[in-house]
Amino acid sequence: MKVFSTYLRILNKHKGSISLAMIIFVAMAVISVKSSDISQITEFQEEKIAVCVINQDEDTVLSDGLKAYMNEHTELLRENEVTNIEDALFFRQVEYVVIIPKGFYKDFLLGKKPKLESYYVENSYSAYCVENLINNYLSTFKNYALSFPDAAPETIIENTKRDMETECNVSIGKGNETNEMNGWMVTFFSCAAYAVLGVITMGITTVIKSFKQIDVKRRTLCSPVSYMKINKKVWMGHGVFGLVVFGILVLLGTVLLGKTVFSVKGLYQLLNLFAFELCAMGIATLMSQFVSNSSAIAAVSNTISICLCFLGGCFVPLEYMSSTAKTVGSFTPAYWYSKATENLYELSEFRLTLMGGYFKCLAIEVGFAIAFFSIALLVEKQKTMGKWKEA
Amino acid sequence: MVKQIYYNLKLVIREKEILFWNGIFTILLSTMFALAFGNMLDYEKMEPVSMALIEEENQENEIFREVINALEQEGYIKVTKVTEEGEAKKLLAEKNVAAYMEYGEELKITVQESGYATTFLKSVFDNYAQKQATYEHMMEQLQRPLTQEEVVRLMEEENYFTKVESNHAEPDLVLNYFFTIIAMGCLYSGLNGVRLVKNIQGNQSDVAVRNSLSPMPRYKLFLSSVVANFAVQYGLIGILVLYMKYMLKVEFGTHMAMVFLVNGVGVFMGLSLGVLVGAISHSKENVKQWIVMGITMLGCYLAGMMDSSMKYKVQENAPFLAYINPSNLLTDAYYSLYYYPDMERTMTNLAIMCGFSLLFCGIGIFALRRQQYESI
Repeated sequence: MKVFSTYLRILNKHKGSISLAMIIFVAMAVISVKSSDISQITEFQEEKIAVCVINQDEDTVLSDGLKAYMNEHTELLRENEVTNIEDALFFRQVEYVVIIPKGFYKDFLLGKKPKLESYYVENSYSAYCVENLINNYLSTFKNYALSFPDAAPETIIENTKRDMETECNVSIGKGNETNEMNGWMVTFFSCAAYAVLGVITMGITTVIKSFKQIDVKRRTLCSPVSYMKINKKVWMGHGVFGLVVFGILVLLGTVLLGKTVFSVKGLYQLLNLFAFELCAMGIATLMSQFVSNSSAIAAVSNTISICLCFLGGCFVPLEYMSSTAKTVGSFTPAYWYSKATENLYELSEFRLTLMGGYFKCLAIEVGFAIAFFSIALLVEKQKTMGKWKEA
Repeated sequence: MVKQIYYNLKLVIREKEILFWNGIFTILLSTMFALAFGNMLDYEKMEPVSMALIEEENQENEIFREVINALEQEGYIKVTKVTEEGEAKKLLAEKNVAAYMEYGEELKITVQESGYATTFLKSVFDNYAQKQATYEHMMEQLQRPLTQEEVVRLMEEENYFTKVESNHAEPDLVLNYFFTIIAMGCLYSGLNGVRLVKNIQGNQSDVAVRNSLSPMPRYKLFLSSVVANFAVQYGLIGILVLYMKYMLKVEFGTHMAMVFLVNGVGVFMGLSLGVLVGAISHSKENVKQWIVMGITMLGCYLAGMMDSSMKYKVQENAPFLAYINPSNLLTDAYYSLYYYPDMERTMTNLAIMCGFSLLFCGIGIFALRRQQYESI
């Protein structure tokens, strides 16, 4: 057990640098999971567009009615609620700005054609929706005002309000209902890929580098323990280390997501994470064949984990990525991990016939792991044979 | 002095670790951002929403058909006509359409998910349903059919809006992610700052012991090291900016000379931060580098590196924090150069950055001066 306990001692010595990715992941997971409330989304929810109204006109019955209507359908912000409108528009905290010029309502009621001023993000759904809401409200008011010239403004507002309450019946298709917990699970498991890659590559490469130091290697080789036996212990160490990392992630998932982690969907997610961890171990073994300097290990480990997670869609959902990025990403295991996570997100029943996509992704991940391990072993064999031949 | 700068340049260029974090890593990260955020704003761009329309046999509604045709012609929707609900459900399940619609007494829309596209679709058909309601209510109240003129007026789409032409650039929030990377790169020169202080403090490194024995005054050693580190780091940031502009097509606005000025001030502020940390902290070099990286990364997080809206939220709720965060000052300088038509905001940021640089450097130099070693 000497080799195995040395393995653990090396890990303990470098625990700070090894656990860095895990700490970053915990921060990301806690922020994203705890920043919203749990709710079951089974009904269609209208997107509330943030609209800022700058009113330069006086308040009238019409303006009050319009504001009440806008309040129901948008996230209405007044001028004094936004310090810098241009910045708010850039960062999408406001999506549409309406300026009601002085005398607008008076001109409108007199039957003139006054204009509201606006600025917004060009060619966007939000701009169309807001203009549609306001145009329709004002047109309806105008129609009633022209057809019933003797009616009081309050009556016209009442009529307009009643018509505006007519809406289409919109529902979410069966099987497409989502629940917030399910969304959190995707976020959690997507980000977990970063922790797995960061911690496993850093840990395994650091240990292998220590065992490969020339003096240590010479001392080990002249001991009465066979090379095969030493290697077995090192691999056992890799296995235990991998299981500990997996256990920490399960524990963290239980804390953040509760019992959902142990639901059928959760268990399939864990299986996917396990397959990805095998890939990470393969990458780490391969990496350790080429990187020997401790500064270089940190650099390569960070580069690999960040690049794979970005390319694979772990940090940004695959739907937001360009087709080129997705094509490049499909040559990485992280992409298939994310794809499996997304497949599970969409599934509401877990019949084998529906899970073809998920199992395909899982098989590709395992394939990647086998490929990485094989190449690493081949490289190691070539290096060892080369040295013996030289000797 | 020139010779000293030359030797220091050789020293800096041989620091592969620092070159990696300050140069290659920032380029890699920006490439990843470009790949990952390529379609980030696509969800808000208006495109025809694909929908299936269930048209059962003998169903006649001429007005509705005209409305559908008009919406299709205007590019708001893309309609696939089906005759059975099962067919529509299949199209929805296979994600070939975003929604399907049945029309009878009332309009029933079934969507794949809530979102901008489906909200837009609802808005379009709400409009139709509301006009229909107005038509019926008016007939009811007038107790007569509507005249041709009234129907035309009702169906007319009046537009009450006129767009104000903004003199600001296109609001593209993805750019902020790239600006934070440049800010990170500039402030990572703090790592060089820590190293350069280590190389002139006799109790910190062998190089410093050798330097302390030389007849050259310490201020000259310090200055030559600052110049060499600044030159290398400024070059790396310059390469990063040019890579972003020409390879990743990141927009910087029209004032490229100002962008390079901001780079310079940013690199100098980073170096000063490193000098400050290196001079006042007595910890190991690693710890000092962690402090610099910690300040930089926390600052970048608050400047919107992980979530663009964070920068705005900090600015709105804690403006003081936005003004004392070096990462935010840099990000804001690039942002204002791109977005704002005038230089006022950029100049304010530059002035605060210069102030911080002088303050950091001043304290660092004060802590370093007159240090002498009888024995080490």
